[in-house]
Amino acid sequence: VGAGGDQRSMRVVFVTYLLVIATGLVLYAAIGLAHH
Amino acid sequence: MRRALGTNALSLVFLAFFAVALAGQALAGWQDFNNEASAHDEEGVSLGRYLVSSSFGNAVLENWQSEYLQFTLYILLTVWLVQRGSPESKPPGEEGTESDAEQRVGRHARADSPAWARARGLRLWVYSNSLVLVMATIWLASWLVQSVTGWTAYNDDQVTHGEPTVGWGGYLGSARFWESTLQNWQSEFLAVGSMVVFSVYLRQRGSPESKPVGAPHSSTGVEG
Repeated sequence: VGAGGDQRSMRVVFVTYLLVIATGLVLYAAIGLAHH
Repeated sequence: MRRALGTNALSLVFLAFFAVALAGQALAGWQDFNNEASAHDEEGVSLGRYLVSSSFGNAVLENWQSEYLQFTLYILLTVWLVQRGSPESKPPGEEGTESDAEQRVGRHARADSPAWARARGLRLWVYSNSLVLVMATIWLASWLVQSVTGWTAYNDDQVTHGEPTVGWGGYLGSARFWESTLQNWQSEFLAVGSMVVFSVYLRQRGSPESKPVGAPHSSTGVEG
């Protein structure tokens, strides 16, 4: 583990946050629209 | 692994808080939803069904949008507006987007600068504003999804009460939509404004959000 490992783990948390947000947005947009 | 947890502790702890609070909201919201249903002599729903309901989605998204609006505005307004004495503000006189040299872009980029800081034209503009662009996109997307889920939940209520349903545009003009939007905005604006002002006179030793304990009240833009 060194600078490369740090870079990787920083990228993992960045992408995890983006995925959580994108999942919430897409899921509830689809659910909201599915009723209409 | 241990080192990765330690060096990302701040973001991982907030992610864990988020998951626990969301789970708690889901359980409490489900119970409240079913209490309402039984008050109207209707059948309750399973937790799984509640999690994929517009009612839950609306409750989640109306808070998301206001938080992202708050950060979008904060990032953007602190470019041009200052508050003397606040560690959150640039010193008076430094308002604006600053020079290329100060921002280390174009030919002023250094060896360890991100590749896009060295770019020119549109790519440099996009990267130079990428934080606000992403936060604003999440704000607008979550506000849009709030409106769609809220519209569905609103029409469900209308049907339950034997009243006519409305179109999406009609819901956007409804008191329900604006009440749920503005009740979140007002709290964000007050919290951010008070953070800016309180940090002039108050301190938290060790926090980068505060000035050093011994810093004078008039020093601006100094983080401890």
